[in-house]
Amino acid sequence: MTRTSKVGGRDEEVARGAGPALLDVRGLRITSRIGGRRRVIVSGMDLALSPGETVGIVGESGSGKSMTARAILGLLPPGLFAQGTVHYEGRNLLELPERALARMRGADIGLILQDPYTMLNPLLRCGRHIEDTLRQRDKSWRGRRAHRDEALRRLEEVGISDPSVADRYPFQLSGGMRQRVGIAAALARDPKILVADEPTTALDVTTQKESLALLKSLQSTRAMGLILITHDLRIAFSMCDRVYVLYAGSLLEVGTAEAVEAEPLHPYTLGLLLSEPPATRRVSRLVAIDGTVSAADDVADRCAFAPRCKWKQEPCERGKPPLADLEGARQSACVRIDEIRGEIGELRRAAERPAEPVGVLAPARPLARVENVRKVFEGRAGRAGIDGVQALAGVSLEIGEGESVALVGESGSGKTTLGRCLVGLETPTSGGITIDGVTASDYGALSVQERRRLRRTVQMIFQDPYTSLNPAHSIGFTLREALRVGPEGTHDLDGSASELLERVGLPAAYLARKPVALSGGERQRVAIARALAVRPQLMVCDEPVSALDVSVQAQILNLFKRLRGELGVAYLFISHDLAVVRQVVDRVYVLHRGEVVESGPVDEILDDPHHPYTARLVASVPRSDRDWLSGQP
Amino acid sequence: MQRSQLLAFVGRRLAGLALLLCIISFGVFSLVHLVPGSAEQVLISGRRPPSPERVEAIRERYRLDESFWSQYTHWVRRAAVGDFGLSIRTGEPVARALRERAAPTLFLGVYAWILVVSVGIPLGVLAAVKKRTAIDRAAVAMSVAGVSAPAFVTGIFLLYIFAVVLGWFPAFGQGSGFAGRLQHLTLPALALALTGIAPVLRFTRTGMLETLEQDYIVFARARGLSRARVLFGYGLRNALIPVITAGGLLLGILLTGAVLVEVTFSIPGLGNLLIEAVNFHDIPVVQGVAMMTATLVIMVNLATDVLYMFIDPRIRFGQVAA
Ligand code: SF4
Repeated sequence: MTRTSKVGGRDEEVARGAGPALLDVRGLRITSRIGGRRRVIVSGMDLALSPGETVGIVGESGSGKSMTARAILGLLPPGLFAQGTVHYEGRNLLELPERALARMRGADIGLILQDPYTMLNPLLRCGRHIEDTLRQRDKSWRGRRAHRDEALRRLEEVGISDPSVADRYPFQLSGGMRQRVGIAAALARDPKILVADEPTTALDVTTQKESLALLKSLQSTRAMGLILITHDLRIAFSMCDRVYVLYAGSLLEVGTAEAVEAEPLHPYTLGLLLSEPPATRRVSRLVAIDGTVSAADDVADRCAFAPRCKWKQEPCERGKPPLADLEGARQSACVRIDEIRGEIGELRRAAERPAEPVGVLAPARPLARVENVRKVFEGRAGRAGIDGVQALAGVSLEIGEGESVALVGESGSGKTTLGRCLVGLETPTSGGITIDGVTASDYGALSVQERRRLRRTVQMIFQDPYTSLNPAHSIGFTLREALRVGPEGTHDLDGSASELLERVGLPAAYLARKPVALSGGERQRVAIARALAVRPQLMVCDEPVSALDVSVQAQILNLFKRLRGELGVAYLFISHDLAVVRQVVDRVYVLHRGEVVESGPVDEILDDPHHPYTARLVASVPRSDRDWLSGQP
Repeated sequence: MQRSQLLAFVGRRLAGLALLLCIISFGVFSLVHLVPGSAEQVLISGRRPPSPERVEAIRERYRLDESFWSQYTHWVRRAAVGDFGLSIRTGEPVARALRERAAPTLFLGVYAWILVVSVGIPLGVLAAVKKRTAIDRAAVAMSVAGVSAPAFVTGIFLLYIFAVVLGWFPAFGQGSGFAGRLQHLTLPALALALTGIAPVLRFTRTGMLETLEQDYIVFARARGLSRARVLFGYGLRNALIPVITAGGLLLGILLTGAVLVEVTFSIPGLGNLLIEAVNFHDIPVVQGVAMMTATLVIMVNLATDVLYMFIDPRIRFGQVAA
């Protein structure tokens, strides 16, 4: 590969954060060596962090952001190797022996991982995690009692004032609480730098906001350097002083949060900004980035974004474009940035055009009606003391023909349970469900004909496109199988299958492929095509885009919008993401602890929520401005 | 967890196990009637036709005049206090034979078990930590060899090298006194342990490899915890859960292995007793050994479950993470 111009002796005048860097990463290159084959994972990564500064590394899956974090701490998984320099207090961490690194971890640089559900040792009480860290600081056994008191104090610092939490096991706590315990454990030795790898991605939206606010306040009271890794530009903008945009292992743009937000100087950053569905208004079509994320290794010797860039020209692929300095302490790795800057600005402004009004809500003929549905999950049989859990406490809703309705709520709200009741995966404890004139409260009690009719009327799309397709069957097989159940006996199954694929924007050549060969977005398209095979009138979509990268999410949301226009299919969109919901539905039901707390037209509910819970949800949607975290919930 | 919960759990398991034991005992008892020939013939056997008094005594003892059900309950009541009648071969009480023969077997079993745990688990950890190195490969190769070679083959092999060629250990018998036992039973225990080490090593190795990839290990290292704390406090403890659940499996391996090893080293233990009894159609002895083994297996399984509960709080609190 062509080495970028910046590896090694680069001048100090290059704009970096204020003051001397606390951490200085240059030319970081991460490669994997598995079975003798070398693959590039990250190349030419530079990063500088000053004391008390917050920088964000923004990237989608496959960008190499997590591996960059782990490389800084010398915690790369086996088989992965880092080159370049990571300078901290005059030492290159990449050259330090493991023992010296271990002494430094936790004391100088701390790390928080993405998933609070897997980050803590399931067999250790929460307090022990913090005490374990403390013991590294002060190994004397006399310190034991002191460690315990200190652990309690540390818990208080992260907002856990109940001392009994220290004696609980991780599985007894919620995700947000576990994340707090993790933060307390990571900070117990007061490191000067904290690397937070997607610290809130696995949390509910309201919890996410609280956790981020906590991190921010901890960072500023301790004047700690914070490296925040996230896939969400809005979060990066509101939390960070400067952002680094990483894509397919390459650093594409660097700048202060304000500047990048105001004017992105790389086509990829622009694409990311545009594909983010706005939470405040509906747009007729999201500006998605075409295609899927390339593997870092495939684009190691050219502009990483070239395969998806509409401005691509011959020089873009002649070598890896270096990160060039621009005015205002900014850097961009686009070789054509001077030529296309104007166009980028125009596109950005074009995306700001006024909101598309939500379609007139003419009272449609009701297609599905849910009346006072309750669902109680029984405790485990024979186990005393474990009561049933009430997932739905009397929910009523209605979906008209061709209407798009959202069921909004966080985990534990019962939204998924209701969706599963509609398609017969769950049977309500009481209450009624009618779909297209058929009583669908209990699928088991239906006649064969009625059940078949329901299956053709309602289809479900699941969140995880990786598990919803059978890996053993080709896409063609899956679609043909679905078509056979369809309303009219199709003779030309292959023809119909390719039509379906075309409908969801995939070439017919995909019929022969197996799911493994497809990206997440493509799989979700296939899942949608499979659901369409029976020409359903209602599609129940359970968080259909939340597992996808932003740039792909926009494509799928556009697909949902287009299909509705073409086929007049009705949606029940189950989601926690209000910005997504805003784009695709007409009406919203807000579900909280198994009850509908508010419902109505999407604009009214999101612009002027009446119920405090709805208001809290709306306030939790990440915003780019700095007030987002300080604002009242 | 409260003690009452633990007691309730053990109580529940004991009730279930008692039921299981009843079913097994029913099968064991039925042996008398399943073996060809009338019950009297089965229970008396021998070449000469038995005297009428003898037949009468047997009929009386086993209540052969009464219904099958009452024969069974009568037999169970006696079996519950360890009375399995008289051995057909020797005429001695079965209970005495069991008591005499259990001692060397128990010694052998515990000895082998200690070897298995103290060799299998550390080797498994070592293989996992040194993954894809010569150490790992050697450990895995050894465990493959251990699995594929039956205990009597390794037994004969050990016997030849250490007893015949080197003369370090006696070749047969059980010795007397603790030291004598230890000396006599070292080779057999080693032969037996080798079959058990293999699965334990593999379970530990896979468990450890899986655990070492977990986030909480990365997070522990990221906090600068010592290598020992990460490896044992965070890694091994989690990795041992599947090893412990495989405890029942290990017992099965050791039990079948014990029979072969006892024969190879001529140890007068339960295994040999069982083989003699089967060859001789000595049904009361077979019944005694079978019931004793069943009870042992059941108790070990219970102990495994309790241990499992102590290690894993998620089980202890009666729920898996929500
Ligand atoms: S270098 Fe070329 S391909 Fe890459 S972002 Fe710029 S214009 Fe597009």
